[in-house]
Amino acid sequence: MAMERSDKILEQAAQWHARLSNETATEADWLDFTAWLEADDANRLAYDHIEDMMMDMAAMPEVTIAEAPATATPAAKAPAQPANDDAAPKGATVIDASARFGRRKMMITALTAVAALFLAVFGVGNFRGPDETVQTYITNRGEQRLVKLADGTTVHLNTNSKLTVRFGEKARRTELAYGEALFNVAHNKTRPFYVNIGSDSVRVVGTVFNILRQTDAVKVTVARGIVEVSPTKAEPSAKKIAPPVRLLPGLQFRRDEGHTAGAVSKVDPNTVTSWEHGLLDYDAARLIDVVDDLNRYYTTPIRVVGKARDERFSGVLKTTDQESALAVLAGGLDLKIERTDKEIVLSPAD
Amino acid sequence: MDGSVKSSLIDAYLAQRDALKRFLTARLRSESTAEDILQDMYLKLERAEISAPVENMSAFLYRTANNLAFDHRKANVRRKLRDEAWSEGTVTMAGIEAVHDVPDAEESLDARRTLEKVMTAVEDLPPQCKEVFKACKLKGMTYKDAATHFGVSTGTIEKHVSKALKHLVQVYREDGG
Repeated sequence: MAMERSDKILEQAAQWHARLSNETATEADWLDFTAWLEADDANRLAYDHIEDMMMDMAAMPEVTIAEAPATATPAAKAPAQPANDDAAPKGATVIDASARFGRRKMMITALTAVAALFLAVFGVGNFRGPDETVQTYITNRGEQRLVKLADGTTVHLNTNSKLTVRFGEKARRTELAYGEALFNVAHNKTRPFYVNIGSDSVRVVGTVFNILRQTDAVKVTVARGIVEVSPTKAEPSAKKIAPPVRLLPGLQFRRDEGHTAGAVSKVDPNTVTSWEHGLLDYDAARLIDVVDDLNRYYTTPIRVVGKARDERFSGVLKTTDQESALAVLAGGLDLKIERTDKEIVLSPAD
Repeated sequence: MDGSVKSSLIDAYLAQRDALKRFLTARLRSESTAEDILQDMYLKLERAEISAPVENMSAFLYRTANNLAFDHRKANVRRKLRDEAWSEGTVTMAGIEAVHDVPDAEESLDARRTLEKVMTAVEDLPPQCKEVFKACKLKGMTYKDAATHFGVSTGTIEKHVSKALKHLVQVYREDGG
């Protein structure tokens, strides 16, 4: 009888934990949860058990990946392999929309491997190697690449990008020299993860965020977790160092070249990762900005002339098919397409 | 920085303070600890430069309080854990989003064995339940993303997580966790 009751309570505690982990949990849920806790001390203890267990499990993936020399991802010494799962073609470096679920599946499959490996290495006292290695990853125009780092972090490099990774014992340092990258950083409080983007440095503990570095501006956009952006160093002309900017999900930091301070604006967090699926999502964006984006993906540049520059475009374009993107733009905005050997010119239709 | 979002969050905090205290007291069985955490939370909100579009402020405040209570329990229960980073502001703030510590390598063998059993139990869960649990609770996928990925409702995701937790916590507790 006593056993039955405690099982029932554990079940309720599990239900509460699952409910409150749901982003849709409401204030009313929290009030009900409070009442449940108040009703019986056994309830609180059952909930403690769940939390204790999750506390123990939370660290598991990174413990294993940090010291996983024998896994399919041999860490920093060899160049990282592209996404390599059942659903994606082997050796493919371009991940298009059709492969995106395959990629997620791969992440989950990797977790299974992690869990198995965990059993193998757990109990070994030393989890971190002291050596520091440098690794560089580059994508060409139109190419994307999924990189798995030694600590379990994944970085999805977009078209025409360069990332350098230098992991040390105390810190995980990376630099995005140019281009765009979507980071999914493995949690590790004692070994912070930094991304250098020239004038600014991004510090994280564990989160998902996107960085776009272009010659005239940098943008940092957070999908999940918290990210801190700090000036890398004080510019000689600057009177004082700008304070770090803390970004929460749905916020974007943008700093234009030559400006000492960045600006923070709100964005739709769901669009942060849309490029991963080969899509660009616009809402009344200026055509010249849209074309700037497209030109990052294709070798033949598009140029917009005349009044067409100020046209506004709303809709979704494919980054994997220049012709279809052009057709959507030209059709929607009533533009004329002219081609030369070197470029494609968009102008207002007569 | 948009100061108005922050000030409205602080307004919400002040309006909810009594309710949050009641929650924390129930959670930790200590009114004075609840008061400490609330004070801590206020300072964090003050310092945080939040210009965030916090969608549901009340739920956000509860979640924050819950995570701080979690951190507090962890610090108490596992005092033996050396953890320099804990007191650092940024890291603790990031803790609001459930960034957790790594158990020290010297943690007792018993705890390791228990965790091994729990991890084995994870593998023994029914396939979808297992994948959902791993994605949401170990990988940190949101319920919404998981629902899209698995092609089910967030309610079903919640049920899988709940079922997995119930089973795992029984293994955990039986083994003296």
